[in-house]
Amino acid sequence: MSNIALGRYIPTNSWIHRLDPRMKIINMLFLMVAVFLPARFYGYGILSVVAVSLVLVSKLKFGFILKSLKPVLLMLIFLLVINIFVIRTGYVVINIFGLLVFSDALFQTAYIVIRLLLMIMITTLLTATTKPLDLTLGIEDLLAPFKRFKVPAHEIAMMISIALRFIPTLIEESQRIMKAQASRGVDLTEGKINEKIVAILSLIVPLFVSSFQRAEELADAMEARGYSPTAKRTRYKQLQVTLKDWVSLFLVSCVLIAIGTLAWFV
Amino acid sequence: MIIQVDKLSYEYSPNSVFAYHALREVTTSIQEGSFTAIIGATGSGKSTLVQHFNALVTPTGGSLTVDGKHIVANQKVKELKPLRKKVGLVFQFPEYQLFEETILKDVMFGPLNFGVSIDDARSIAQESLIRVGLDSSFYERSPLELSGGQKRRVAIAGILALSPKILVLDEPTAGLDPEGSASMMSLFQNLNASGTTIIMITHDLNHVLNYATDVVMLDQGHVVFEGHKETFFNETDLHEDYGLVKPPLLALRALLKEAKISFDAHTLDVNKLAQSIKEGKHV
Repeated sequence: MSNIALGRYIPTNSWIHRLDPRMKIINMLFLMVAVFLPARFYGYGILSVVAVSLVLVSKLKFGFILKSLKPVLLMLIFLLVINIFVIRTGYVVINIFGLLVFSDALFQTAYIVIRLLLMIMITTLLTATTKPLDLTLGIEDLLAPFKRFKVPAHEIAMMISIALRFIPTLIEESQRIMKAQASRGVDLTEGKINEKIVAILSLIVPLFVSSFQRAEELADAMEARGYSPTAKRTRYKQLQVTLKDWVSLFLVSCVLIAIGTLAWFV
Repeated sequence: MIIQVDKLSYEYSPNSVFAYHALREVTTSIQEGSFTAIIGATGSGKSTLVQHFNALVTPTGGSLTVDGKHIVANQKVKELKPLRKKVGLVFQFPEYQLFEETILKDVMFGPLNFGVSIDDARSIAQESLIRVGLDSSFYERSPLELSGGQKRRVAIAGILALSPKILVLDEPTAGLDPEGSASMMSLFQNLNASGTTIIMITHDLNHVLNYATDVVMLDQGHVVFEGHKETFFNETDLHEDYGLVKPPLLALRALLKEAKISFDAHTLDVNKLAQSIKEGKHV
């Protein structure tokens, strides 16, 4: 469990943790839009400073953020290789035994890398500082206006919260099964390819069986307590937007406007 | 001594917000051929401790020796794999580990992983299934269509098929009816009689009283008792101090004492107790 950093809540109780989840989601969307504006390196410079200072304010460790970047590393390398072969504009930077590497290939890759890194940093900031349940409450509230267009806001939020709720359970379960199979001599890390397939099967089949069982049990338990997705529900936890939320929205909007202006004029 | 644990510590997720010390400098030993019960409250570190015995986890501090194999902190798991065959570990609710199409195949899975030939694995599997009380009519059935108790028997057969020298059981009777639980326990008792060292995590002091020879008690990652069962029940009140349910026999002894009836105050055997009351013997 300790190996998985992506999407994990870290309770450091910072200023960002205490913000309203709805406002945090909106802020994240704004920052995402800013990331995708073609504001060249100045814009990304500003955004990087913003992202790094947000991490500092949130009291998260940089090691944790780096950990969540790890899964995309391979993709980035792959992208660089593809770009080197595909993009053939700009001036030649290096000549590797007849393979010409053009400047635009490097720039394009750099842009995508920076965008991806910023994106992951920003989303990690959201998920690391917001409890999964608060996050779904926020999503439900933000989707509420779309109920008029028959968007099942509550059902979506319920599905997301159940899915989120079961991530740690499934991780725990898979670790337990892995240990049980390891006790029977399964080795997930080495062996021939057909041995590996059996090893993975020995993990996946039990995991599926128990997941379906859990799903059924949960559905029964919800029904036994009279759950109906269409019923009008009240909430124990009431979200409240306070001054600090407006301040955060204002600051993020300023960043968005600055980046937008840069993108427009540069 | 088949297992010697020396100042073993284990910490989950070290250096993070979630860091948690499950075991703190645990020193204990387990005798060859014994039936050792490991008891303690939830979260006392029992499961973490037994997972060290077949190197599913390696210590973050200290060391242990299992059947001559010395394991220290951060050791490579690869060289410890042979230990998995010597020490069979049955997890709590082991029925979740079943995955093959037929019961026979599932029980053969373990031996095949350790390089036993298919024919040998089949005969070993059949033997183990008979041992847990499942006859040949079960061989070709899917493990998923069995009842909970039968599934558990299949899973245990899957571990027995490795013919381990040490069998570690994590609450093997949890969720079974009294009858199923009694027949499961007598299976382990038979295995123990034929020379297998048994280590069992349990919350049921009655099982400790009836089947175990030795007791190791953990509390918050520390060993608070280790020794013979008789010492544990006759000379300490630890089970009361830690709020465990008193076994009926001990409750009866307390009542007898109150009623000033003379009996053998040291026996942990129901029949011997009855005999001593009959004879009016006071020891």
